Amino acid sequence: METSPTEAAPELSTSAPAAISTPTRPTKTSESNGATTAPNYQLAYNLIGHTMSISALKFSPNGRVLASCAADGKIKLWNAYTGDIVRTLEGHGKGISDIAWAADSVFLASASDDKTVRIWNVELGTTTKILRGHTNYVFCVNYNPQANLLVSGSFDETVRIWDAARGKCMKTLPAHSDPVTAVHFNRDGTMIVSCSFDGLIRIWDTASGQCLKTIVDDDNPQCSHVEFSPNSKYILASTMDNKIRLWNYHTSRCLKTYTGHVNETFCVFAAFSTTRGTRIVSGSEDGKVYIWDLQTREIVQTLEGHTDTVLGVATHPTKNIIASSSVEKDLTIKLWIEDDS
Amino acid sequence: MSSSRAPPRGPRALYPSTPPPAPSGPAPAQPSPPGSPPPSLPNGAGKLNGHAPRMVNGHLLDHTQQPVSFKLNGVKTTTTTTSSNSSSAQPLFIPHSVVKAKLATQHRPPSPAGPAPPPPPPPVASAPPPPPTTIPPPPPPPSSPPPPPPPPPPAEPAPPVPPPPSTAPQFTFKFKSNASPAPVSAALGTAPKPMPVPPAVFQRHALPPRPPSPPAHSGSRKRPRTPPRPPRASPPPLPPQPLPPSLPPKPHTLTPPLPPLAPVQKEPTPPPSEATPQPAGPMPHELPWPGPDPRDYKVMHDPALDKQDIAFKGKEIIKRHAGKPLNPADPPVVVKDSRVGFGGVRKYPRKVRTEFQMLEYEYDENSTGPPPPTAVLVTNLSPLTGHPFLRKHFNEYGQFGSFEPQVDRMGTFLGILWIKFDTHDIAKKVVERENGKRLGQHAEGQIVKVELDGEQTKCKAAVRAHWEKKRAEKAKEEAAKKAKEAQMRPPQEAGAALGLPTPTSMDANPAQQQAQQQQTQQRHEPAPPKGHSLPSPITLRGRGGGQGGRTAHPHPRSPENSYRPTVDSYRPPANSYRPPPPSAPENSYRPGENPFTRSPENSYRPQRSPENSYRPGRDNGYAGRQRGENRYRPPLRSPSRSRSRSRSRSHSRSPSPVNWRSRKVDDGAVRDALSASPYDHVRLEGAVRSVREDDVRAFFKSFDVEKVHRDSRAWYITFRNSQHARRAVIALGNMPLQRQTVSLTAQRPPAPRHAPSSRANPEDIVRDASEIVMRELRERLSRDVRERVIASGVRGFIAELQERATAAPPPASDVAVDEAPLLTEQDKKAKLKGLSFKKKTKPPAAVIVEEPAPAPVRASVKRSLSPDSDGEPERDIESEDDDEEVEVARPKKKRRIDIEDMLMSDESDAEDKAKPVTKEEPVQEEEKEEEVRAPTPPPAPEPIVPKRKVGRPRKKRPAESEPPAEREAKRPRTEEAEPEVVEVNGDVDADLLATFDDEEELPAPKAKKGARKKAGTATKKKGGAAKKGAAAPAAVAKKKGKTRDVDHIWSSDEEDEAAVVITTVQEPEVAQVARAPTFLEPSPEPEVDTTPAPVGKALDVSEFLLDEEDRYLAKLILQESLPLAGRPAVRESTPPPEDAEEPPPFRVHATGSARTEGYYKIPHTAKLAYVAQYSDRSLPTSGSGGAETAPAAAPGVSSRSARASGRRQAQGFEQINKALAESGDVTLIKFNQLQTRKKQLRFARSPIHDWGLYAMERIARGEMVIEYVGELVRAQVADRREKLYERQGIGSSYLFRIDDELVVDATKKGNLGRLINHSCDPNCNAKIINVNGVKKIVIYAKQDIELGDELTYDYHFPIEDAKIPCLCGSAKCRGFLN
Repeated sequence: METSPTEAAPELSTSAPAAISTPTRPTKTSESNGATTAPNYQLAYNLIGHTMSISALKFSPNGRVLASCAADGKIKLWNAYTGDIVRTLEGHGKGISDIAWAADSVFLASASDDKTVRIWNVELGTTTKILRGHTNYVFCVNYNPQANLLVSGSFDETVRIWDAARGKCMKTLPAHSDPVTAVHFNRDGTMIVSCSFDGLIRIWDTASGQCLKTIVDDDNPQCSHVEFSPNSKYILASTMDNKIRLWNYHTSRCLKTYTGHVNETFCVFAAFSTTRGTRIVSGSEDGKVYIWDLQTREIVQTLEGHTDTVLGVATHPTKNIIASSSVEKDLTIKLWIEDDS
Repeated sequence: MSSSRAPPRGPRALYPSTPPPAPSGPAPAQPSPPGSPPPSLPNGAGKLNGHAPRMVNGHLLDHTQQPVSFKLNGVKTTTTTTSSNSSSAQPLFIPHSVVKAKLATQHRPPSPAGPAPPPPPPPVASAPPPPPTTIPPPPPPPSSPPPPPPPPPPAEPAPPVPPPPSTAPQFTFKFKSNASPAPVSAALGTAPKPMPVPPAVFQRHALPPRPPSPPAHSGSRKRPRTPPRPPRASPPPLPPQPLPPSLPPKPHTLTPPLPPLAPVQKEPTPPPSEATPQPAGPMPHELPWPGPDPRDYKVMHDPALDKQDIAFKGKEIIKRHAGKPLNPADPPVVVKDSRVGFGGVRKYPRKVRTEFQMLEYEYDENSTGPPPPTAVLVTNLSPLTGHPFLRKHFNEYGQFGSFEPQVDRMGTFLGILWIKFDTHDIAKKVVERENGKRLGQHAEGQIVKVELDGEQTKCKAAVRAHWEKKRAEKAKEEAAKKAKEAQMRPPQEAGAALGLPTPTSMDANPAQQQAQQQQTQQRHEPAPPKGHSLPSPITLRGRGGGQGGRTAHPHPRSPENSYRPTVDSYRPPANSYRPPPPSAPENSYRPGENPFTRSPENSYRPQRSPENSYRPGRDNGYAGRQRGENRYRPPLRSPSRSRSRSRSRSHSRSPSPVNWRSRKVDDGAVRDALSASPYDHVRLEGAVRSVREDDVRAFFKSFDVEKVHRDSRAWYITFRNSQHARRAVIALGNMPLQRQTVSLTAQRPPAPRHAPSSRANPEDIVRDASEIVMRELRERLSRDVRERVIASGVRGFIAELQERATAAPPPASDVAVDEAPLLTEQDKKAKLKGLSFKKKTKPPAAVIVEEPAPAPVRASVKRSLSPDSDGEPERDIESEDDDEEVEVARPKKKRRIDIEDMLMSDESDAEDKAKPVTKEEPVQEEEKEEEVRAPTPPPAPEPIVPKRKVGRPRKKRPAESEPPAEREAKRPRTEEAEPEVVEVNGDVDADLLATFDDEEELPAPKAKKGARKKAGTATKKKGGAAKKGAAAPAAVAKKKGKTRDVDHIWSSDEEDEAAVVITTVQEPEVAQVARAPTFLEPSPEPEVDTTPAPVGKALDVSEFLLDEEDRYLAKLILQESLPLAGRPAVRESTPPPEDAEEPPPFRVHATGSARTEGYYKIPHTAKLAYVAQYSDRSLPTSGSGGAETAPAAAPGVSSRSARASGRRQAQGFEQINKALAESGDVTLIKFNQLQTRKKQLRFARSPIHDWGLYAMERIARGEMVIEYVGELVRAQVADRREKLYERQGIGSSYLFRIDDELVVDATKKGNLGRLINHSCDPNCNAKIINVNGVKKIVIYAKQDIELGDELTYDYHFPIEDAKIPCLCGSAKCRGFLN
């Protein structure tokens, strides 16, 4: 668990995918800078518009748009820099649990309780595809980097791989024995990581649908979120035991454990922040946003402002911007910006 | 003569085969005598006519030149002096005067030739003096002067004769010239004399040249051959007889002669040639015509240039062949024509062509037209012939690309088989060998017809023919039926009896004729005519009956209309005949009808009644439409046209053998078939096209496959065993079929479709949908118009009435004025809440049906709206004001009725009329409450009945009829008796109910008019409950008599309808009824639902209560109803329709989405509903317990397992022996024995618990299945580990206790054995055996285990307090593991 690995500290930057931006600079600078200068994110905007709990936030790969989805079944697009609302996408019959951007920043996929995944053309504001097949709520969704595949996880305990262009389900992976809470492609799209309330983190081969690896924590807490690190060497997994772990999935070892936040009932997002130093950002059920230094595991900043559980957290791909959203009592999206200075 | 002959013959001779020779032979003889030319003649003539030329050749050698040119040359040459060596160049010489001279007079040829010629003339003359004269003509020959024209050889003979001579002279001349050379001439022996004469000596040509022609030609170098020939032909005449016959061939041969000519050596040899002339003669022919070779001759002397003497004397003639000087000593080269035998007769006569031959080229990409057919159509097969048999049978010829037995919708083989082979040759072979053979599985095979059918056109035609035939049969039957019927009736009626069609047909005779013509035309079309002809009988009958007129015309409406060309579409013709109007069931919508007028029928019925609902649009879909077309088509239209249209359409749509439509139908058929099977089926996807049924069957050979179906998307395999589908999926899930990955899913049999949903054609669906929508819209609109527009007027009217009523004390008139305004408002609200009216949806259909049956009797149910909660006063009032309260019951009825109404608009009218008779059905309200609206009571078919049971008697009363006074009197009674009870006057009768509905909805106006009085009661009832509440008081004041709130009624109806449409729960009504009193007070909305139903006018119950008994019963009913009223909530909760919308099992996320909901535990049982793996097997497993054993016995041991066991035996015996020797432990033997071979097992998700183990082969009882392998640890360790595991969240326990001390821990290390789940009714046992002192856990089969079964054994957990629920699903399940 909290191993301070004998291994070298994870370096996410080594070969950060282009999409993720800020390739080289991160680690060292962060180390140097990060160590010296803690992040200083300040609340810049409150984006108000949703009428029900906001379930997820995502910055578009080009960084211009922030998409948010909510339990009211709507997706709102905001100008990531000014906070202006750009557009609202409606169509889902029920609440939305997750959204994902395609690499072109034009298409957006959303996973809904109406058991479908929709693909939207953001520019046109239209639904281009409706992916049907899940037999229960769809909980999470993600594009592969090439944006030709979609992966979705559902309460029906399966992970489905879709052909994004045709809207056809290509594979159904009987992945877990409980609702699947997160799915994510690695950097080159060859692997999928999924996690579930059953506490398992599984890595799948995209092509064959075979399970390559299963990562289980000793305590087997429900796993709420998982994603590959930008360089795809590690896996960041949130569990409902108030911990976030960084795994080396090659060795199935836990390299880092980040604690301090509260996460016991919701599937709170966690994210890498690589724009300035390499950090881990996560929401918390105490209404704060926590930022850890990836290497030191120290909390370098907490963003306070939300009055309810912070479910969604997103980091801007190129700028020092963090977006966070909350549920129920606090229906705002907050944009936190750190001056580069 | 002879000479003359010779030349002519030459040409002939050229033609090798010609018979001439023989005749010629004689001919020469003839001429010879004349003999002046004898000298020369002898040679040529002597040789033979035919050979003459050769001879010439021979002498000349090669003169290969074409006769024509040659001649020219020859002529020239002769005339000219030796111009040059090359005769070929001669043309140049043509100009020479010599030529002209010749032309001028051929006889003179000599002229140019000089002195020499003269001599020849004599000979010529001798032969035919006329020649000279004739000759002249030849020159122009081409133009066809006298001689040439004679072309008709036969005729010519005579005239030609002359020419020959002319020619002859030349020849002679030539010969002379030729001969001039000493040797030659000598050889010829013809004329030594001439020799001197000839001025020029030519080696070359002497040939065939026919003198005459040459001259003519000379003009044009190449003379047209034709003209000259004739002359030649003419010469033949010499040999009169033979010639004619030969002539014909000649013409052809004329040209050819050249080729046959062979270079013949001349020179000295000539003499020999002479000697052997005859034999040699033929020879020359043999060589192919070499063509002139300048090297082969040389002019030695040109008389024109040289003095003969000098030239002749001083020069020696050198003859060359092929450029080489010929050695005179050499024997002449003789080339024999191998084709010609002795006598110049062809050995192998030429074949005579009797016809033109077509060149056939191999079909390749450059070819045009259809490729050679590779497919074969087999017809006249027995329908019972098995496809596998056929497949096998035809597979002998080679692989086929497509094997398409033609089947009907139900999959019945039609005896038509279309097979596409790889190549045309195979197909041809098949046709050759199979056509006319008896083919069949059984001896009774029929003689089949096999033909090539590359485009499958014949196949289609055959299928079509098949259907037409069938249809024809049906038509006949029908016709027979009708005929019978017709006979039964007077003739006039007969026509009518036939149905609409006949009359139309009669009227439309002219049109018919046209139609007929068209028909006839069509008959000639590819489609088999049979079907067409059949209809005629009908027509005959109809006609005969009606007019007795023309029988010939096929009945326009004949069943043909219904004909559908493709297999799928066939439907009994009967359908097409439905008389449009009455057969409302199709509600599809009739063009001509006014939606409004019709509305009652059309209105809701479809949606409500499952049968009716979609059928029109959906089920009947395609077929229906087609049928519809025919049906609705104006009578004048000819059937033929319709038919053609349908056909054409089908064609266009189905370019491929299986058009999509048929495919759809197939799908539908598949679905039907599947639904027929009681057990689950397997759906196999992924290899639909490429795999054959046999393969699929083979794939599932381990299972008890019942049928294999296939549609456009997948294969469906049904089994004879309930478990096999599931097992098959497990066992074969990962197996490739034909090297293709396929996905298997076990599915439950689909619900039988009410109607052929199969035909789902996107267009059709859309169209149907649009129709439905339009219909609904129309209805809505009409209703709105009625209610809002008309109703308002009515209300106004009512209001007036009310005013009057109020003005005048309780009006004696039965018609009670409603408190229109109040009610209306309330009604509106109620309408808005229309949903509230929703009641049980089911009843409607049934109700509807029933309604019609009962006679129009109205039961008026009286209710005291106020009674319930409120104090008596209200009741009293209400009782007085029957109107308000009454409403309750009706709305419900109305709704249902509405649906029904659509169908039965007529009834509504009837009802109106019937109004007078009213039945009181207090029960209805209650009934409503209970289930469906009780209103239906009288017929009370289904739900209603129970309600009645409740104990509410209906009371029939001529309520209206009763004098007001009586009513009043009654009222008080009712009040007394049922203070709280609301009396409802309802038109009880089913009919009435129906009518109510109708009235309310459509007929509303009617109701107002006629019914107000009577119907008033009903209307009152209809009034929304809400109204009651508010209105009650007002009503009381207003009305005493029955007030009819038409508005209310309508409104209520609307609501009802809406409710119906929505299929919302009817409960509300019930609740309403019960509440009726209460409602009044509370907000109308929630209760509105109920209220509307009861709304019926508040009639004075008392009125309807005829006697004490009635009253008593009414009381009872009302009392009951009241208590019921208290329950409403419960009921509401019970029938949650909305819940149905969403899968109940899911937890609905109150927060809106899954993520915002946070974590919550989902019980396993809940997962069964949506987790595919679970749900798939949950059912089977549950049922498996008992049922499974029975079927299990059936299957024998598979070959594989047999082999395995054999191996095992052989292999195991040794070990066993050893083991026995070492230790006598029997179990050990068994263990070892079994270890030699592992069972095929597979793990997969299990319905019992996460993962389970499944048998991949049959396992016989008692066999070892697997050993439970794991770490062997002490108990204490196991305890610790157990806790650890628990803490780690490893939910499953893999600890197996061997004994007190030892535990096998398979959590981290182990084999598949640990995955076996627990079952309270297991199929395996776990035994602990001792092997070499080590205890092992081995699982044995407790019973025979089928392929794909999940293995289970009883865990035998110790009983504890903390119960672990058991999910084994077996019948014997204890509920807990411990």
